Amino acid sequence: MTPPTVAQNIDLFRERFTRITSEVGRFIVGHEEVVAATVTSLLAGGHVLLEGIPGVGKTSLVHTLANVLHLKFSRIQFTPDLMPADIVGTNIVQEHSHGGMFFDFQQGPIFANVVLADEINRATPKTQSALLEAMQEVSVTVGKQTYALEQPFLVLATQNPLEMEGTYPLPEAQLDRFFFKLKVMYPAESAMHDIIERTTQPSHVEVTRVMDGPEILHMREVSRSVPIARPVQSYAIRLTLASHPESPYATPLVKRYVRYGASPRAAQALVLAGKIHALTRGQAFVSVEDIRAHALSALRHRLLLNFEGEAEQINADTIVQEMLTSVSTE
Amino acid sequence: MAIDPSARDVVRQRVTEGLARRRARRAVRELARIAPWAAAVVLVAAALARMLGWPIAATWAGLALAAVGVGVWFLWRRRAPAATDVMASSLDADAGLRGELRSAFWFADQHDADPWAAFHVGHAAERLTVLQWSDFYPPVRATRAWAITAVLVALAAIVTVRLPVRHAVVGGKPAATVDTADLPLEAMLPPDVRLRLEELLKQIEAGKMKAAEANAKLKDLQDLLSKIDPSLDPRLAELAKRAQDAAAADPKGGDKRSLADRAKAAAANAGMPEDMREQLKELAEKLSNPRVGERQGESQNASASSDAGQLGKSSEGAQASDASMAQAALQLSREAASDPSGKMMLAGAGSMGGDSRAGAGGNSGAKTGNAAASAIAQALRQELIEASADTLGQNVSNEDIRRKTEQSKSALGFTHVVAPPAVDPSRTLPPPPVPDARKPLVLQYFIRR
Repeated sequence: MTPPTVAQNIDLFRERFTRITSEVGRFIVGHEEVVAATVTSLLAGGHVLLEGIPGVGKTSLVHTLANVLHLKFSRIQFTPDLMPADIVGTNIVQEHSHGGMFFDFQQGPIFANVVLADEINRATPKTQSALLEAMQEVSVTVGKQTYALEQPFLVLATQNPLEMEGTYPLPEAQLDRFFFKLKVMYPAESAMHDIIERTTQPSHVEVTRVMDGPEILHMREVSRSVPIARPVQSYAIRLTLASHPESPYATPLVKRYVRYGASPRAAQALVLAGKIHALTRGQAFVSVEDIRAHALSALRHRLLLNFEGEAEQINADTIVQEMLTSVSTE
Repeated sequence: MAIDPSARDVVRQRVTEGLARRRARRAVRELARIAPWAAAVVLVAAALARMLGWPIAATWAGLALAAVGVGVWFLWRRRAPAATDVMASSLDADAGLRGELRSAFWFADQHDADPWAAFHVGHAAERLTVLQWSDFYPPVRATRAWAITAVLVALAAIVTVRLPVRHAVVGGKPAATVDTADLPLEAMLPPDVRLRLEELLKQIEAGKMKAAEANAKLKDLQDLLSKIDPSLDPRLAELAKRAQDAAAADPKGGDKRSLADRAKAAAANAGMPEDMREQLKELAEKLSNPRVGERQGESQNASASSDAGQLGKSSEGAQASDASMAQAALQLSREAASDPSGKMMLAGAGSMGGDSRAGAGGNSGAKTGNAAASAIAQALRQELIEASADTLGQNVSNEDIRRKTEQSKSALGFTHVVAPPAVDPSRTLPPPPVPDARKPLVLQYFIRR
């Protein structure tokens, strides 16, 4: 790859990224940052946990994204009685035409490129854990057989922060597997006008498929090629370490309210997201600003608060913001 | 693909240039901030040096040293150390390069063959080539500071060259550069003092003045002379010389003899009271030899301190001159003789075994009865002061030295404070209930653990 090719790759990446976000933005109004972060996670090979009150467009966003990308989409509505086999699939006894019985594996809804795990916190931890292998290894194991999932594979989970009755909060191990945790906020007044106009009139907005799986995989490869200078990488590491209360970089809020800090996956997420952010700005390098751009989304769900923090309802975003202002960039 | 060496060099060189320019600008800005203050300090130091009588060469050397110090500090501040990532980062931020310079500077030192890194460094070199550091670090304009500094430095030079030296006594030794030790004090007297002295001597010689009045005036003059610094200002000395020359050249000046000679002659007059003769002798000696005047001044000070109640406690009191003692004793004797109600204590040669000379009385040792009249006079003089019979010129040499204490009533008071009432249990409130919003969190916390 020669430098002109590098420049071309950068331009192509920017163009494709913009194409996806603008196409999703035709249907999803007022959530540009959430859309951009979701696409970033897709290109980084990560999964997204969308959190927001009902009716703000979480499911619509995922649906639209799957439509824009020429990818296989499936939706799983998580309920308390959902079983792991309902997600990954199960072996069914079949009978040969010439006689005899055999097990035939019936794929579950996890066998798709984009999986919407709606209201994921309503299923039991046993069912939730069925996603663990799929999210990390991009494969599922049923019985003694392991089945690889098709790339690109993206899990988009949603959860409602208000209705906590009858829910099972995600365990830390599963939370850590989400690349980003995005908060879908209530749309602004101007965005509400657009939403109402688009959804209450006879004409429907139709999105077109602008990209397919191989193109997304190529974008992934390009994004991982972006070089990062050691001092910038050190900043990402310091930022991650700052979430640990015993770390020398720990901020006062971390020392007081955090029980466990972010794992190395957080640093990976920071760097990968930084690389994609750099490419979207047309840069062939990662800067500190690129690292900081997605720090909130990458760190907020990786902070495990202690009792005092939970009793005082400390917002993890506040802690991350303090980390961003306290940790030196040099 | 390796990174282009020329691109590496461009990145490094531009970083070095940017750092040098930024440091120079910062150093000049700091210099502009401190230069007026440094110049003000130099000006004050120059003025002090002149007032303390330091030689001009030392003053110039100090000024030169200050200039060299500021110069060294300036060069040290604008020196260019090896560029680091932190420096490159700050340059990057100043130039608004959004991290490209910092990253490229790091990659410029790497030797990998990553095409992305090569592209990145090459792109950064292109941007840096067209970058003008002067746009981000313009020259410092501090006209006002430079003008103030120049004016202050010029003033310091003027003060050094033009301000006359004031000779001061440093460490007990005169620091005068003009030697006036050879001149008699008479020659260095201010004209008005000299006139007063001449007038007094004339009246004494003519016998027109009463002894007590002449004595008091003589004492005033002695005090005045003792306060005059022997190393007088050259201008004062010059004035005195001129006055002396004028008096010598003036044919109507009457007696051309010097004041010292005239005082000596007056002291030789046998018909004059003995204390006045002593005073005149002392005056003549002082006028002819300023060092005597200086010693006399010291003894006067010592006497003053003994008057203030420190007799026998300070070293100055121990060094009081014999002449002063004798003078005080004579005065005491005269006062005692003139007062019929007063009795002078004398130790007789009878059963107590002492001789008949004036003394402290008693027979307790070999020195009993041998006390000098001056010691008795001094002791009695102290008693006189304690009895509030202070008369300026008799028992108080300097009224200001006497300690005056004051007494006043204290305004301290207190008011009655009401004790706090006992705690009323009915007014206490139970602790607030746990908020409902927190209950699930607490439960969730314990369930999860």
